[in-house]
Amino acid sequence: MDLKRLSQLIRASKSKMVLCVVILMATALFSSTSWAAFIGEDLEIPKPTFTTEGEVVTAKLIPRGRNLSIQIDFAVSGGKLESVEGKPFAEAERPEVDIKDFRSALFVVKASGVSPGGEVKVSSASNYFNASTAFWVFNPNASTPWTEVPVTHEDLDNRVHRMEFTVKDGGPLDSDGRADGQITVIGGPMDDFWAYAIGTLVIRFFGVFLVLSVLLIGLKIASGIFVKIESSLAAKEPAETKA
Amino acid sequence: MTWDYVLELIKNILFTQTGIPHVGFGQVIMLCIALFFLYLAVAKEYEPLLLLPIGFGIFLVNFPLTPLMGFTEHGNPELIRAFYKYGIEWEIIPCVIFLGLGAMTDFGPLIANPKTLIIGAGAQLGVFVTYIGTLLLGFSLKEAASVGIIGGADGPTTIYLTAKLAPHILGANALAAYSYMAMVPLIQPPIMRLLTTPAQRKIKMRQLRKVSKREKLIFPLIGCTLIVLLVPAIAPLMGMFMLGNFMRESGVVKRLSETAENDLMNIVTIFLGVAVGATMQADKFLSLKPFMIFVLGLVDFVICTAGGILTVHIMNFFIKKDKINPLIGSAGVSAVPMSARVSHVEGRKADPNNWLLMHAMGPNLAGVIGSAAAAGMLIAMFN
Repeated sequence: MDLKRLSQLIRASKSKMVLCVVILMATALFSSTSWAAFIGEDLEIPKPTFTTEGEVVTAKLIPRGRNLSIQIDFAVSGGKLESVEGKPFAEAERPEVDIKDFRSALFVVKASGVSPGGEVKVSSASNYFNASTAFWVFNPNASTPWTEVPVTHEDLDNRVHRMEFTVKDGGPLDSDGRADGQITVIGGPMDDFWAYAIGTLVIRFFGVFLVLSVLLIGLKIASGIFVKIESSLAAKEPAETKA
Repeated sequence: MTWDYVLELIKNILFTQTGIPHVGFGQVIMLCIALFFLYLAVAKEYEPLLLLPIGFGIFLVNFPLTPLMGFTEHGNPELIRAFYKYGIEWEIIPCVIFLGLGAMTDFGPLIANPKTLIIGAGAQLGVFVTYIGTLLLGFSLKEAASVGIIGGADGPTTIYLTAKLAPHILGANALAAYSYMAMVPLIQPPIMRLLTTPAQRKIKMRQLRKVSKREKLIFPLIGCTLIVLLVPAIAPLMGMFMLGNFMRESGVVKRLSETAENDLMNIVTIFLGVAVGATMQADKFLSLKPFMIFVLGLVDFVICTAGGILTVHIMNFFIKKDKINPLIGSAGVSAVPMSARVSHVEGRKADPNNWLLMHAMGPNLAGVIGSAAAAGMLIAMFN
């Protein structure tokens, strides 16, 4: 197909008008002011609510790209879990991170009763996590504010997955920056948005093929059976008519 | 009573009880958009059954102070808000429309040539490609899924999915879906000609076998079982679709079947159209997003059409005899029966003795099932 033929086809059809509209829209879109207006309000910001039971604080929230709420349990060993709060992502936004990767919000975890300069283990568990979920910590006072924390993964019952990491009082993950027996960790679970979006999409596209292929097989089998029934019925009918 | 008092009273009435002083620029624009869609529906007869109530819905809600889309002081929904709440928010109307569609549908061509189901799956390509494109443009996951489904060219499915995932873009999505469905005869032919050679367009397909009444009766049961088992999320739509078809094929509930495909469907279509149109109030609609949705919807539609045709090419590569005419691939986008008619018309342009209509109905019906399956996949993704 050469370009000349393509242009003839387009000219011959009324879709020329539609093409013009597309070009105009594209031009409008890529002007920066229109882009800002276009992005609009972020309607999917997770809004966690918290409940405390014993030494575990549970956050309940609807993560980005989900309809149903999930729960994340926070606990601390080697100190006392004081509180867990949500933190607006805007306050921690940096060019090196993408808000879409933090689908289940940012949290501020505060612990006390730590021996000054000592270590605590912070754990978060949810059936929303999997082995590829990472935990990133934000420390506004550090030279590199965002860091991926080395975590240990563990599968618990009921498909719950736990991540645990160590925080040193006054260390790089402690936002208060002081070895004062108190620890403040700002961070949240992170999943690669694009890996998820494209991965799940490819699976689902082939899923549509799978569904319709299964229906195709079902129809083929049913057709085979019915064609046989119909032909045997048709063979019986003339015999009965003859008799 | 003094003149000043009377004037004050008139002024108060004018400002608080009439809409005139509250008419804004945005509302004027929306009224023009409403008139444009009413023009398309009435003068051009583009999907008038839906574009007319949608256009009038836009027209009505863009007058200021109208008690239509809000709530009364007792918290009860106002007239059109009630249609929206109980019909769309509760996901009832799209399912009732599918019941009517099922009662209207003759699955004979699909049962006779079940391999056309694969074309219906291939024609969902645009749904997924557009999804990625939409995400790249900054839409959220749910918005992207809702925009993607436009290419499936199935109005009720688009409304069902969007109402579930991204109700704030329902108006734009529904309008884009129905507009492009109406424009199938304009959009599809250039793509069909571009992706096929004259020789391929002349391929004559073997006449479809006769499908018995028993087969047609059992189809909704088989179809429902397999689809609902594999994609439970789409059970409300598919269940109603197959129920309508079972009523039709059973032949014992003619009254119910006729009511579902005529009166019931007509009634809910009015409520659906007006309620969808009413979501397009100036303050919510006038941004670049709806316009982007229109552009993406068109791209989606084009890719879905191409996806169907390319699927036929791939199938033909493996088929030794009884090749499929690739023109019927474009009918995989649903839009029943318009896209099947377009395939037929294009086929006859290539060879006036080539009758493709019934062959194209197979992928056309597969497209309905395919787009519902794609919607189910997308819904399941968020649960």
